[in-house]
Amino acid sequence: MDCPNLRRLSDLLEEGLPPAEKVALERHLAVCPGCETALAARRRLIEAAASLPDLEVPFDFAASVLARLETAPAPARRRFPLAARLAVAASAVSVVGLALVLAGGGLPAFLRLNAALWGSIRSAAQVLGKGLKVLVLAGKLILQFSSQALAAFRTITSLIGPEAQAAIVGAAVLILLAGGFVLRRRSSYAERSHEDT
Amino acid sequence: VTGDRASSLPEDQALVRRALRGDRRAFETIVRKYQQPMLNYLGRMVGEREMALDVSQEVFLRAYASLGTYRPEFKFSTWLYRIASNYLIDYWRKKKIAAVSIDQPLDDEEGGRTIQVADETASVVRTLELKELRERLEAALAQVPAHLRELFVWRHVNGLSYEEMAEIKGLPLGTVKNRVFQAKEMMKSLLEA
Repeated sequence: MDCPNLRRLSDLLEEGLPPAEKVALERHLAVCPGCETALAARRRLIEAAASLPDLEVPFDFAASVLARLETAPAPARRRFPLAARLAVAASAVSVVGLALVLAGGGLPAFLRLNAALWGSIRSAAQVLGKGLKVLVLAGKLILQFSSQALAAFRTITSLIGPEAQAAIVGAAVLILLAGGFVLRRRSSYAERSHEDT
Repeated sequence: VTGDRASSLPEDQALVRRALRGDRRAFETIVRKYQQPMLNYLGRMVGEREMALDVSQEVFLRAYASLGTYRPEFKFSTWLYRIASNYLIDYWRKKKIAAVSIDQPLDDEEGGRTIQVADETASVVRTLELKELRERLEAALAQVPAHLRELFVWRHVNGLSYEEMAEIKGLPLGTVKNRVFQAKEMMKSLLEA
């Protein structure tokens, strides 16, 4: 076989070659001093790296980390998805219901529990309905404000020429782009923290 | 020496669970377990022990703050290395050291350079005493671009597997192998220069 490229020699050192290729390469190395020398140099480099001395950790390093944790808030637990939480809640209700039936409360106790559960759901639905009404009202107000703003905009544009309009639009776009750039830079840390998960 | 070789999945998971319940001693155990491999890695990345100690401390604090997001199906050590690697990116960005980005885009793909074996009979890597070779190696490491140096250190100083490195960096396995190869060849050229 011809002399291999260096990548193959490196793969041989890292046990990353298929068995057949490994055997062929080892046969070649036995008769090619140049390749054997190149392999030995890379093996030595790896051995030297693996035997680099540890950097000295101060004896109080862990204590100093702990000291800084004293002022840090406790880590927040990971929240489970809503579907998982609902499934757990439903299972819990079923288990409690079954337990009541088995414990001698019988069907009436289970029905009472069921009625209480539905009562809670009804109350929640009423609150949700009121919330929706507030949202609809807010939407109407926004629509009204938008139509007035549009009318005001039309009045302003009728008063100034097309060049001035173009300049104003250009300036607004620039401001928006600059604002977006600043916000993106500020949020990069948060994104990276999220990636850590 | 290597945190990864020392890591134990069930033990780490139990420590994380205890730390999440507010047991700070459990987190201290985690710190003691991983402080040496973290310092070995970060020291070779920032090039100065004192600075590396500060960075290591920040990495552990960031890990503590994010502990609730650790998913126990993964190795704790890989999760911690990812936090450290991301911290370095932020650290260098803040220091405005742009020349050695470790999230540098790929300049190569699987296969890499096909360098042929040259005559290396006079190679200093083979002839130097181990002690001197180590000293020269530390100096050469500092000259290797950070995105290659990081993988070299993980592989040959910290003893991580290629699969773990690919998981930490979110890179294809072939790319990781190729970058480690590039780093080694660069190191060898620097040592021979």
